[in-house]
Amino acid sequence: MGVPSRRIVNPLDIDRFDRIILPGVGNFGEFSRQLRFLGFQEPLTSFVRNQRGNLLGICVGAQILFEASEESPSEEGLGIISGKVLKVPGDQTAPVPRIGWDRLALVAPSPLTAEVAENLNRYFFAHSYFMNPTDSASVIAVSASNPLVPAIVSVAGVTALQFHPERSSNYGKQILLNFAKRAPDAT
Amino acid sequence: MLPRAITTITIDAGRAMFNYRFRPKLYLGDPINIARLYSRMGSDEVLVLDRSPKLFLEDFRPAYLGSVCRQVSTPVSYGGGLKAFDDVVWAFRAGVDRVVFSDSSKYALELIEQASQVYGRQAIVGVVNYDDRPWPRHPRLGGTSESLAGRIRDLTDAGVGEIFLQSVNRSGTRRGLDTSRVKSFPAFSKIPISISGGAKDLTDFDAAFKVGFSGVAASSIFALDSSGKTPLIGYLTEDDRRRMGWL
Repeated sequence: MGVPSRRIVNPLDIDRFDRIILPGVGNFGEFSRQLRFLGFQEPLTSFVRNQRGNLLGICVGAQILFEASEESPSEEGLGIISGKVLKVPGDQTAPVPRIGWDRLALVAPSPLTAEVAENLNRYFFAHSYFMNPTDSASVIAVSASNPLVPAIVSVAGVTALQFHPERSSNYGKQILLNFAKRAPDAT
Repeated sequence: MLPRAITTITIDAGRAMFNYRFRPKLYLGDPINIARLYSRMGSDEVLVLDRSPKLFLEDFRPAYLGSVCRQVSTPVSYGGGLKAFDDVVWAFRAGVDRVVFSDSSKYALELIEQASQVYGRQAIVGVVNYDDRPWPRHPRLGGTSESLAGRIRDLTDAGVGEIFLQSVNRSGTRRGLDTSRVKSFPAFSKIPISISGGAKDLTDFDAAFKVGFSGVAASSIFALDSSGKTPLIGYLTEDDRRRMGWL
Protein backbone atom coordinates (compact mmCIF):
# COMPACT_ATOMS: atom_id res chain seq x y z
CA MET A 1 0.00 0.00 0.00
CA GLY A 2 3.04 2.24 0.18
CA VAL A 3 2.64 2.80 3.89
CA PRO A 4 5.60 1.84 6.09
CA SER A 5 4.59 -0.79 8.60
CA ARG A 6 6.12 -3.26 11.02
CA ARG A 7 4.88 -6.28 12.87
CA ILE A 8 4.98 -5.69 16.62
CA VAL A 9 6.36 -8.68 18.49
CA ASN A 10 7.37 -6.95 21.72
CA PRO A 11 4.41 -5.27 23.47
CA LEU A 12 6.71 -2.52 24.73
CA ASP A 13 7.19 -1.41 21.12
CA ILE A 14 3.57 -0.32 20.85
CA ASP A 15 4.35 3.20 22.01
CA ARG A 16 6.79 3.64 19.11
CA PHE A 17 3.88 3.78 16.66
CA ASP A 18 0.97 6.14 16.14
CA ARG A 19 -1.18 3.65 14.22
CA ILE A 20 -1.79 0.17 15.54
CA ILE A 21 -3.74 -2.56 13.74
CA LEU A 22 -4.96 -5.46 15.84
CA PRO A 23 -5.98 -8.16 13.35
CA GLY A 24 -7.52 -11.46 14.30
CA VAL A 25 -9.02 -14.77 13.33
CA GLY A 26 -10.25 -16.79 16.25
CA ASN A 27 -12.30 -17.38 19.31
CA PHE A 28 -12.82 -14.41 21.68
CA GLY A 29 -11.70 -16.31 24.79
CA GLU A 30 -8.61 -17.76 23.18
CA PHE A 31 -7.69 -14.37 21.73
CA SER A 32 -8.10 -12.73 25.14
CA ARG A 33 -5.91 -15.37 26.80
CA GLN A 34 -3.22 -14.97 24.14
CA LEU A 35 -3.18 -11.18 24.47
CA ARG A 36 -2.76 -11.55 28.21
CA PHE A 37 -0.15 -14.31 27.89
CA LEU A 38 1.90 -12.31 25.40
CA GLY A 39 1.66 -9.16 27.49
CA PHE A 40 -0.27 -6.99 25.02
CA GLN A 41 -3.30 -6.23 27.19
CA GLU A 42 -1.93 -3.36 29.29
CA PRO A 43 0.18 -1.71 26.53
CA LEU A 44 -2.87 -1.63 24.23
CA THR A 45 -5.20 -0.11 26.81
CA SER A 46 -2.54 2.35 27.84
CA PHE A 47 -1.95 3.31 24.18
CA VAL A 48 -5.62 4.31 23.95
CA ARG A 49 -5.90 5.80 27.45
CA ASN A 50 -2.89 8.05 26.85
CA GLN A 51 -4.13 9.03 23.37
CA ARG A 52 -0.88 8.03 21.71
CA GLY A 53 -2.52 7.40 18.34
CA ASN A 54 -5.17 5.43 16.54
CA LEU A 55 -6.06 1.79 17.08
CA LEU A 56 -7.84 -0.32 14.46
CA GLY A 57 -9.25 -3.72 15.43
CA ILE A 58 -10.24 -6.27 12.81
CA CYS A 59 -12.79 -9.07 13.34
CA VAL A 60 -11.98 -10.74 16.68
CA GLY A 61 -9.33 -8.05 17.07
CA ALA A 62 -12.27 -5.62 16.98
CA GLN A 63 -14.51 -7.67 19.25
CA ILE A 64 -11.80 -7.90 21.91
CA LEU A 65 -11.96 -4.10 22.27
CA PHE A 66 -15.37 -4.57 23.94
CA GLU A 67 -16.04 -5.57 27.53
CA ALA A 68 -17.20 -9.14 27.04
CA SER A 69 -18.55 -11.66 24.53
CA GLU A 70 -21.24 -14.31 24.57
CA GLU A 71 -18.70 -16.51 22.81
CA SER A 72 -16.59 -16.80 25.98
CA PRO A 73 -18.53 -15.41 28.94
CA SER A 74 -15.76 -16.24 31.41
CA GLU A 75 -13.16 -14.13 29.59
CA GLU A 76 -12.93 -10.36 29.67
CA GLY A 77 -12.30 -8.10 26.71
CA LEU A 78 -10.10 -5.02 26.82
CA GLY A 79 -13.07 -2.82 27.70
CA ILE A 80 -11.85 0.00 25.48
CA ILE A 81 -15.29 0.30 23.86
CA SER A 82 -18.38 0.07 26.10
CA GLY A 83 -20.66 -2.77 25.12
CA LYS A 84 -20.74 -6.50 24.53
CA VAL A 85 -20.30 -8.92 21.67
CA LEU A 86 -23.44 -10.97 21.03
CA LYS A 87 -24.32 -14.09 19.04
CA VAL A 88 -25.64 -13.33 15.55
CA PRO A 89 -29.28 -14.45 15.32
CA GLY A 90 -29.47 -16.78 12.35
CA ASP A 91 -31.96 -18.84 10.41
CA GLN A 92 -32.02 -20.82 7.19
CA THR A 93 -32.27 -17.69 5.07
CA ALA A 94 -29.37 -16.05 6.90
CA PRO A 95 -27.18 -18.87 8.18
CA VAL A 96 -24.55 -18.34 10.84
CA PRO A 97 -21.57 -17.93 10.63
CA ARG A 98 -22.03 -14.98 8.31
CA ILE A 99 -19.47 -15.81 5.66
CA GLY A 100 -19.05 -13.84 2.48
CA TRP A 101 -19.21 -10.40 0.98
CA ASP A 102 -21.60 -7.66 1.94
CA ARG A 103 -22.11 -4.00 1.26
CA LEU A 104 -22.12 -1.37 3.98
CA ALA A 105 -24.85 1.07 4.89
CA LEU A 106 -23.10 4.18 6.19
CA VAL A 107 -24.95 5.69 9.14
CA ALA A 108 -22.49 8.38 10.26
CA PRO A 109 -19.67 10.27 8.57
CA SER A 110 -16.11 9.21 9.31
CA PRO A 111 -12.69 9.84 7.75
CA LEU A 112 -12.35 6.08 7.62
CA THR A 113 -15.12 5.75 5.05
CA ALA A 114 -13.90 8.54 2.77
CA GLU A 115 -14.27 7.51 -0.89
CA VAL A 116 -16.35 4.49 0.08
CA ALA A 117 -19.28 4.10 -2.30
CA GLU A 118 -22.13 2.48 -0.40
CA ASN A 119 -23.76 0.83 -3.37
CA LEU A 120 -20.63 -0.49 -5.05
CA ASN A 121 -18.08 -1.39 -2.41
CA ARG A 122 -18.24 -4.74 -0.70
CA TYR A 123 -16.33 -6.30 2.15
CA PHE A 124 -15.54 -9.79 3.36
CA PHE A 125 -17.18 -10.91 6.59
CA ALA A 126 -16.59 -14.16 8.50
CA HIS A 127 -18.13 -14.13 11.96
CA SER A 128 -20.71 -15.67 14.28
CA TYR A 129 -20.80 -12.86 16.85
CA PHE A 130 -21.39 -9.14 16.40
CA MET A 131 -20.34 -5.95 18.16
CA ASN A 132 -23.08 -4.28 20.19
CA PRO A 133 -21.78 -0.95 21.52
CA THR A 134 -23.59 0.74 24.40
CA ASP A 135 -23.47 4.04 22.57
CA SER A 136 -25.31 3.54 19.29
CA ALA A 137 -23.89 6.84 18.03
CA SER A 138 -20.50 5.13 17.77
CA VAL A 139 -21.77 2.97 14.89
CA ILE A 140 -20.38 4.32 11.62
CA ALA A 141 -21.69 1.61 9.28
CA VAL A 142 -23.85 -1.49 9.39
CA SER A 143 -23.89 -4.47 7.06
CA ALA A 144 -26.44 -4.13 4.28
CA SER A 145 -27.83 -7.69 4.45
CA ASN A 146 -29.97 -9.22 7.16
CA PRO A 147 -29.33 -9.52 9.99
CA LEU A 148 -28.07 -5.94 10.05
CA VAL A 149 -25.06 -5.84 12.34
CA PRO A 150 -22.61 -3.03 13.13
CA ALA A 151 -19.73 -3.25 10.67
CA ILE A 152 -17.71 -0.21 11.78
CA VAL A 153 -17.73 1.14 15.32
CA SER A 154 -15.63 4.14 16.22
CA VAL A 155 -14.94 5.98 19.46
CA ALA A 156 -12.15 8.49 20.11
CA GLY A 157 -8.98 7.11 18.58
CA VAL A 158 -10.33 3.58 18.26
CA THR A 159 -12.06 1.90 15.34
CA ALA A 160 -13.47 -1.61 15.24
CA LEU A 161 -14.14 -3.36 11.91
CA GLN A 162 -16.23 -6.51 11.84
CA PHE A 163 -15.15 -7.30 8.29
CA HIS A 164 -11.66 -8.05 6.98
CA PRO A 165 -10.34 -5.05 5.00
CA GLU A 166 -7.10 -6.95 4.30
CA ARG A 167 -9.17 -9.56 2.42
CA SER A 168 -11.60 -7.17 0.79
CA SER A 169 -9.62 -6.38 -2.32
CA ASN A 170 -9.31 -2.71 -3.30
CA TYR A 171 -12.42 -1.85 -1.29
CA GLY A 172 -10.67 -2.86 1.92
CA LYS A 173 -7.42 -1.27 0.84
CA GLN A 174 -9.19 2.10 0.71
CA ILE A 175 -10.32 1.71 4.32
CA LEU A 176 -6.80 0.78 5.43
CA LEU A 177 -5.34 3.74 3.53
CA ASN A 178 -7.86 6.04 5.18
CA PHE A 179 -6.79 4.69 8.55
CA ALA A 180 -3.10 5.09 7.77
CA LYS A 181 -3.29 8.59 6.35
CA ARG A 182 -5.71 10.49 8.52
CA ALA A 183 -4.35 12.70 11.29
CA PRO A 184 -4.04 11.17 14.78
CA ASP A 185 -6.55 13.60 16.22
CA ALA A 186 -9.04 13.26 13.38
CA THR A 187 -10.83 10.18 14.71
CA MET B 1 -24.66 -11.84 1.94
CA LEU B 2 -23.75 -11.67 -1.72
CA PRO B 3 -23.29 -14.98 -3.55
CA ARG B 4 -19.69 -16.11 -3.88
CA ALA B 5 -17.97 -17.39 -7.00
CA ILE B 6 -14.96 -19.22 -5.58
CA THR B 7 -11.85 -20.04 -7.59
CA THR B 8 -10.27 -23.39 -6.79
CA ILE B 9 -6.55 -24.07 -7.19
CA THR B 10 -5.57 -27.70 -6.86
CA ILE B 11 -1.90 -28.23 -6.08
CA ASP B 12 0.17 -31.34 -6.57
CA ALA B 13 3.76 -31.26 -5.30
CA GLY B 14 3.93 -27.50 -5.63
CA ARG B 15 2.36 -27.31 -9.09
CA ALA B 16 -1.13 -26.07 -9.87
CA MET B 17 -2.95 -28.83 -11.75
CA PHE B 18 -6.31 -29.13 -13.43
CA ASN B 19 -7.97 -32.23 -12.02
CA TYR B 20 -10.56 -34.32 -13.78
CA ARG B 21 -12.62 -36.40 -11.37
CA PHE B 22 -9.95 -35.90 -8.72
CA ARG B 23 -7.10 -37.03 -10.96
CA PRO B 24 -4.42 -34.60 -12.20
CA LYS B 25 -4.89 -34.04 -15.90
CA LEU B 26 -3.20 -30.82 -16.99
CA TYR B 27 -0.44 -28.60 -15.64
CA LEU B 28 -1.74 -25.08 -15.12
CA GLY B 29 1.26 -23.24 -13.76
CA ASP B 30 2.70 -21.77 -10.62
CA PRO B 31 0.08 -21.64 -7.84
CA ILE B 32 1.37 -18.32 -6.50
CA ASN B 33 0.99 -16.61 -9.87
CA ILE B 34 -2.43 -18.12 -10.44
CA ALA B 35 -3.61 -17.04 -7.00
CA ARG B 36 -2.30 -13.53 -7.64
CA LEU B 37 -4.16 -13.39 -10.97
CA TYR B 38 -7.40 -14.52 -9.38
CA SER B 39 -6.98 -11.95 -6.65
CA ARG B 40 -6.37 -9.15 -9.14
CA MET B 41 -9.41 -10.23 -11.11
CA GLY B 42 -11.49 -9.87 -7.95
CA SER B 43 -12.12 -13.50 -7.03
CA ASP B 44 -14.51 -13.73 -4.09
CA GLU B 45 -12.36 -16.36 -2.45
CA VAL B 46 -9.38 -18.51 -3.41
CA LEU B 47 -9.74 -22.13 -2.34
CA VAL B 48 -6.39 -23.92 -2.31
CA LEU B 49 -6.67 -27.69 -2.18
CA ASP B 50 -3.29 -29.31 -1.77
CA ARG B 51 -3.26 -32.87 -2.98
CA SER B 52 0.51 -33.22 -2.79
CA PRO B 53 1.85 -36.57 -1.62
CA LYS B 54 1.82 -37.09 2.13
CA LEU B 55 5.60 -37.00 2.44
CA PHE B 56 5.80 -33.75 0.51
CA LEU B 57 3.30 -32.09 2.83
CA GLU B 58 4.77 -33.47 6.02
CA ASP B 59 8.44 -32.91 5.27
CA PHE B 60 8.22 -29.66 3.33
CA ARG B 61 5.38 -27.66 4.79
CA PRO B 62 4.74 -25.89 1.55
CA ALA B 63 6.48 -22.54 1.53
CA TYR B 64 4.24 -21.39 -1.31
CA LEU B 65 1.25 -21.14 1.01
CA GLY B 66 2.67 -18.08 2.76
CA SER B 67 3.45 -16.51 -0.62
CA VAL B 68 -0.07 -17.21 -1.86
CA CYS B 69 -1.53 -15.53 1.24
CA ARG B 70 0.70 -12.49 0.89
CA GLN B 71 -0.11 -12.09 -2.81
CA VAL B 72 -3.85 -12.40 -2.44
CA SER B 73 -6.10 -9.63 -1.15
CA THR B 74 -9.23 -11.77 -1.04
CA PRO B 75 -9.97 -14.61 1.39
CA VAL B 76 -7.82 -17.74 1.17
CA SER B 77 -9.06 -21.14 2.32
CA TYR B 78 -6.61 -24.01 2.49
CA GLY B 79 -7.04 -27.75 2.70
CA GLY B 80 -4.55 -30.56 2.43
CA GLY B 81 -2.58 -32.66 4.87
CA LEU B 82 -4.13 -31.13 7.96
CA LYS B 83 -3.78 -34.16 10.19
CA ALA B 84 -2.83 -32.61 13.51
CA PHE B 85 -3.48 -29.40 15.38
CA ASP B 86 0.07 -28.22 14.65
CA ASP B 87 -0.76 -28.35 10.94
CA VAL B 88 -3.75 -26.09 11.56
CA VAL B 89 -1.65 -23.62 13.56
CA TRP B 90 0.93 -23.63 10.78
CA ALA B 91 -1.73 -22.88 8.13
CA PHE B 92 -3.15 -19.91 10.03
CA ARG B 93 0.34 -18.57 10.70
CA ALA B 94 1.00 -18.80 6.98
CA GLY B 95 -1.92 -16.39 6.59
CA VAL B 96 -4.91 -18.46 5.53
CA ASP B 97 -8.33 -17.23 6.58
CA ARG B 98 -9.99 -20.62 6.76
CA VAL B 99 -8.82 -24.20 6.93
CA VAL B 100 -10.58 -26.94 5.00
CA PHE B 101 -10.99 -30.51 6.20
CA SER B 102 -11.86 -33.27 3.81
CA ASP B 103 -14.35 -35.84 5.00
CA SER B 104 -11.94 -38.54 3.87
CA SER B 105 -9.76 -37.75 6.87
CA LYS B 106 -10.51 -40.12 9.70
CA TYR B 107 -9.08 -37.59 12.11
CA ALA B 108 -11.37 -34.82 10.95
CA LEU B 109 -14.02 -34.68 13.63
CA GLU B 110 -11.72 -34.44 16.65
CA LEU B 111 -9.42 -32.03 14.91
CA ILE B 112 -12.31 -29.87 13.74
CA GLU B 113 -13.57 -29.64 17.31
CA GLN B 114 -10.16 -28.57 18.57
CA ALA B 115 -9.54 -26.09 15.76
CA SER B 116 -13.01 -24.60 16.08
CA GLN B 117 -12.53 -23.93 19.80
CA VAL B 118 -9.37 -21.96 19.13
CA TYR B 119 -10.02 -20.28 15.79
CA GLY B 120 -13.79 -20.08 15.79
CA ARG B 121 -16.36 -21.87 13.68
CA GLN B 122 -16.21 -19.27 10.92
CA ALA B 123 -12.62 -20.30 10.17
CA ILE B 124 -13.37 -23.99 9.64
CA VAL B 125 -14.72 -25.55 6.43
CA GLY B 126 -15.71 -29.17 5.97
CA VAL B 127 -15.70 -30.77 2.53
CA VAL B 128 -18.18 -33.56 1.90
CA ASN B 129 -17.60 -35.53 -1.28
CA TYR B 130 -20.60 -37.19 -2.85
CA ASP B 131 -21.35 -39.30 -5.88
CA ASP B 132 -23.92 -41.81 -7.05
CA ARG B 133 -22.79 -44.51 -4.66
CA PRO B 134 -24.73 -45.25 -1.49
CA TRP B 135 -23.61 -43.56 1.70
CA PRO B 136 -21.33 -43.92 3.63
CA ARG B 137 -18.45 -43.67 1.21
CA HIS B 138 -15.93 -43.84 4.02
CA PRO B 139 -17.05 -46.34 6.67
CA ARG B 140 -13.85 -45.80 8.65
CA LEU B 141 -14.77 -42.21 9.45
CA GLY B 142 -15.65 -41.12 12.94
CA GLY B 143 -19.16 -39.97 13.78
CA THR B 144 -22.46 -41.72 13.44
CA SER B 145 -23.54 -40.56 10.03
CA GLU B 146 -25.41 -43.01 7.90
CA SER B 147 -26.34 -40.52 5.23
CA LEU B 148 -25.04 -37.47 3.47
CA ALA B 149 -27.27 -35.29 5.64
CA GLY B 150 -25.99 -37.10 8.72
CA ARG B 151 -22.42 -36.42 7.72
CA ILE B 152 -23.19 -32.72 7.37
CA ARG B 153 -24.82 -32.78 10.81
CA ASP B 154 -21.76 -34.49 12.33
CA LEU B 155 -19.41 -31.93 10.83
CA THR B 156 -21.65 -29.07 11.96
CA ASP B 157 -21.82 -30.46 15.49
CA ALA B 158 -18.04 -30.83 15.53
CA GLY B 159 -17.61 -27.12 14.81
CA VAL B 160 -17.48 -26.57 11.07
CA GLY B 161 -18.75 -23.16 9.96
CA GLU B 162 -19.37 -23.98 6.32
CA ILE B 163 -19.85 -27.11 4.24
CA PHE B 164 -18.47 -27.51 0.74
CA LEU B 165 -20.34 -30.23 -1.12
CA GLN B 166 -18.17 -31.65 -3.86
CA SER B 167 -19.47 -33.93 -6.59
CA VAL B 168 -16.85 -36.54 -7.39
CA ASN B 169 -18.50 -37.58 -10.66
CA ARG B 170 -18.81 -34.07 -12.04
CA SER B 171 -15.49 -32.64 -10.85
CA GLY B 172 -13.65 -31.14 -13.81
CA THR B 173 -16.27 -32.23 -16.35
CA ARG B 174 -18.18 -28.99 -17.02
CA ARG B 175 -21.34 -31.07 -17.21
CA GLY B 176 -23.12 -28.79 -14.78
CA LEU B 177 -23.39 -28.83 -11.01
CA ASP B 178 -25.06 -31.94 -9.65
CA THR B 179 -27.68 -30.49 -7.33
CA SER B 180 -30.17 -33.33 -7.73
CA ARG B 181 -29.29 -35.06 -4.44
CA VAL B 182 -28.36 -32.00 -2.45
CA LYS B 183 -30.50 -29.04 -3.46
CA SER B 184 -32.67 -29.26 -0.36
CA PHE B 185 -29.71 -29.15 2.03
CA PRO B 186 -29.26 -25.37 2.28
CA ALA B 187 -32.89 -25.08 3.39
CA PHE B 188 -32.36 -27.14 6.53
CA SER B 189 -28.77 -26.30 7.32
CA LYS B 190 -27.90 -23.96 10.17
CA ILE B 191 -24.61 -23.06 8.51
CA PRO B 192 -23.77 -21.92 4.96
CA ILE B 193 -23.39 -24.60 2.30
CA SER B 194 -21.44 -24.20 -0.91
CA ILE B 195 -21.16 -26.56 -3.83
CA SER B 196 -18.61 -27.55 -6.45
CA GLY B 197 -18.02 -30.07 -9.18
CA GLY B 198 -18.84 -29.62 -12.84
CA ALA B 199 -19.92 -25.97 -12.98
CA LYS B 200 -20.38 -25.15 -16.65
CA ASP B 201 -21.40 -21.49 -16.84
CA LEU B 202 -22.74 -18.57 -14.86
CA THR B 203 -26.32 -19.73 -15.30
CA ASP B 204 -25.31 -22.89 -13.51
CA PHE B 205 -23.89 -20.79 -10.66
CA ASP B 206 -27.06 -18.76 -10.53
CA ALA B 207 -29.29 -21.83 -10.28
CA ALA B 208 -27.27 -22.99 -7.26
CA PHE B 209 -27.47 -19.58 -5.59
CA LYS B 210 -31.22 -19.53 -6.12
CA VAL B 211 -31.73 -22.76 -4.16
CA GLY B 212 -29.71 -21.32 -1.29
CA PHE B 213 -26.09 -22.33 -1.81
CA SER B 214 -23.87 -19.58 -0.44
CA GLY B 215 -21.08 -20.13 -2.89
CA VAL B 216 -20.05 -22.11 -5.94
CA ALA B 217 -16.45 -23.22 -6.30
CA ALA B 218 -14.99 -24.02 -9.69
CA SER B 219 -11.70 -24.64 -11.39
CA SER B 220 -12.26 -25.59 -15.00
CA ILE B 221 -14.25 -22.59 -16.19
CA PHE B 222 -11.84 -20.18 -14.49
CA ALA B 223 -8.56 -21.92 -15.36
CA LEU B 224 -9.12 -23.23 -18.90
CA ASP B 225 -10.26 -21.74 -22.18
CA SER B 226 -13.62 -22.57 -23.72
CA SER B 227 -12.24 -25.75 -25.29
CA GLY B 228 -11.35 -27.01 -21.83
CA LYS B 229 -7.92 -28.03 -23.04
CA THR B 230 -5.69 -24.99 -22.67
CA PRO B 231 -4.82 -23.08 -19.50
CA LEU B 232 -6.30 -19.59 -19.53
CA ILE B 233 -6.91 -17.86 -16.22
CA GLY B 234 -10.08 -15.79 -16.11
CA TYR B 235 -12.83 -14.67 -13.78
CA LEU B 236 -16.11 -12.79 -13.63
CA THR B 237 -16.24 -9.14 -14.53
CA GLU B 238 -18.30 -6.57 -12.65
CA ASP B 239 -20.60 -6.54 -15.68
CA ASP B 240 -21.09 -10.30 -15.31
CA ARG B 241 -22.08 -9.81 -11.68
CA ARG B 242 -24.46 -7.00 -12.56
CA ARG B 243 -26.00 -8.97 -15.40
CA MET B 244 -26.53 -12.00 -13.17
CA GLY B 245 -27.96 -9.89 -10.34
CA TRP B 246 -25.25 -10.86 -7.87
CA LEU B 247 -24.48 -7.33 -6.66
